[in-house]
Amino acid sequence: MSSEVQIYTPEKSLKLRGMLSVLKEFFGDLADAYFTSGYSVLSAYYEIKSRYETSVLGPLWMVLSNIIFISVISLIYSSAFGIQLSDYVPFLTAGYLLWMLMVNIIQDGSVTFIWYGHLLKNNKISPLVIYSRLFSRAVIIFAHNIPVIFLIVLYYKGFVFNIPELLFGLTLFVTCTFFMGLAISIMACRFRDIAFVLPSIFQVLILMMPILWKPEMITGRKTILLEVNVIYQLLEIVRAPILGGFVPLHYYINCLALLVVSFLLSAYLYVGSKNKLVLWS
Amino acid sequence: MSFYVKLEDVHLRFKDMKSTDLSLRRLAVGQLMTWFGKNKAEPAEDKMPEVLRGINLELRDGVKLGLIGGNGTGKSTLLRVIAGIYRPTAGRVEVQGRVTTLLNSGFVLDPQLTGIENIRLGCALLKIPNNQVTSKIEEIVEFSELENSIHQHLEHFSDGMRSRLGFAIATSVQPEILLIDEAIGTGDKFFIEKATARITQLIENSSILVMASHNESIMRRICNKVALIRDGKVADLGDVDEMLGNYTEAA
Repeated sequence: MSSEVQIYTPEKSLKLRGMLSVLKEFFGDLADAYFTSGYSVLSAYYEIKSRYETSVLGPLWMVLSNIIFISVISLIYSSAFGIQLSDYVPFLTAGYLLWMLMVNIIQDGSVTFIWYGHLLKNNKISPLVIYSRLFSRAVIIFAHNIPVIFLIVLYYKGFVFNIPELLFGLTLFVTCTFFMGLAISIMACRFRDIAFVLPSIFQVLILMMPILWKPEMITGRKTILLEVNVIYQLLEIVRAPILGGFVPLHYYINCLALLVVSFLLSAYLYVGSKNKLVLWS
Repeated sequence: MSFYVKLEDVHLRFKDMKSTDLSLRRLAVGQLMTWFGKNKAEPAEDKMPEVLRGINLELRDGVKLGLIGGNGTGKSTLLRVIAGIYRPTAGRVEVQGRVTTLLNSGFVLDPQLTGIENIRLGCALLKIPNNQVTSKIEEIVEFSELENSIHQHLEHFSDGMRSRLGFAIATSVQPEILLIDEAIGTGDKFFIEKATARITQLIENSSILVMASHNESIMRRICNKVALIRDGKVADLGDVDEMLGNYTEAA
């Protein structure tokens, strides 16, 4: 069996490396994490499976708790805001569950390298393999929620889905979140206080986002708050097609810009620190 | 194809990570203080000593090297550097061949999963091709003697059973370069014999071995060269009997 010569030398500063070499290494590790080893998807699958085995409903408990949250909030807020239930329930369901996907990826991601540091110390394994395990798990859990969203929208609004836009938006949403989560997970391994602060940040963010309240409630000059909120726009490019709504073109452009920024940020953070994570974790 | 491990003047220094360095908030406040001239203190020098201070080693096909030396002299670190887990801070490491590591905590198992699931994950981690996985699984189950409990969760395994499984997975691939740290696993007396036999077989078939151990009898049996590591340097390198004799006398 032949294998390449491995050469380990002190790391060059990223400033001395061309962008191409950084991106090449990043793509190589990405492909390795998802296609070559199969470890990440397999381990995420087993973890979910073991949850089904250890409790009666498994991850469906989470679906159930989401449904309870949505029902209670819908009853109270729809009357508080004076919105019809048939309008508010699908809006809240889609928005809240998508938001939870983003929160899960980023929050679980932030402790990835702290939890699985022992894997890095005893095996030559790419940190991306470990991150993609947590990412795959969050996506599989979200998949449980998809029927809930589908059925609720179908019941209240009928078949209003705009499938092509939905697929495009969801892909953009998930890839963007993947890279944002990766960047945060690396920073959170270096700076341990990040993982503690994140839950509080998300608590504030969910109130700032049009998830419980509708974006139309903001009028006049204050709409600038929505125009600069790229995270909201990322959510909206998935939610609007689900609810049969319309996505302004500049939302897509902003989200693509966010994708490029988060991709480059995570590529540089990853390539610059993939050999240091074992020392930090 | 010939395999080799070449280390040229390898240095390694860990960074001194104090709890204050791990906090983004403190870092930001410290930076602000510096900007506004409130923080006159010079940044502290990196006081951590070097763990490896200029290791030169060249191992060719057929070398079975034992590493001896006291605790904290850098034996395990050296193994991790050869494995590519730690990057050197200076110098150069060149490795040709597939490296397998049996380091202290050994293979990492997931207690929430069943034995068979852990084996499958291990195979994925070791990048065993899909068409070989089924036969590997049978082999691992047979070797670890866990036929009856392999579908149970690892939570119900005893420590001995876990380490048997971990050992069986980690040693299921024939390495070209094998790195071993300290003695191998636990288990009943019978299994230890079996494990030693398997290790010996792996070593015989692997072309290069580097093993850190305090067990002289194992070293005499397996190694054909011994290096004494002291203060992060190769203090002496030579034949097994001579080196072990000197070492025991000095101690």
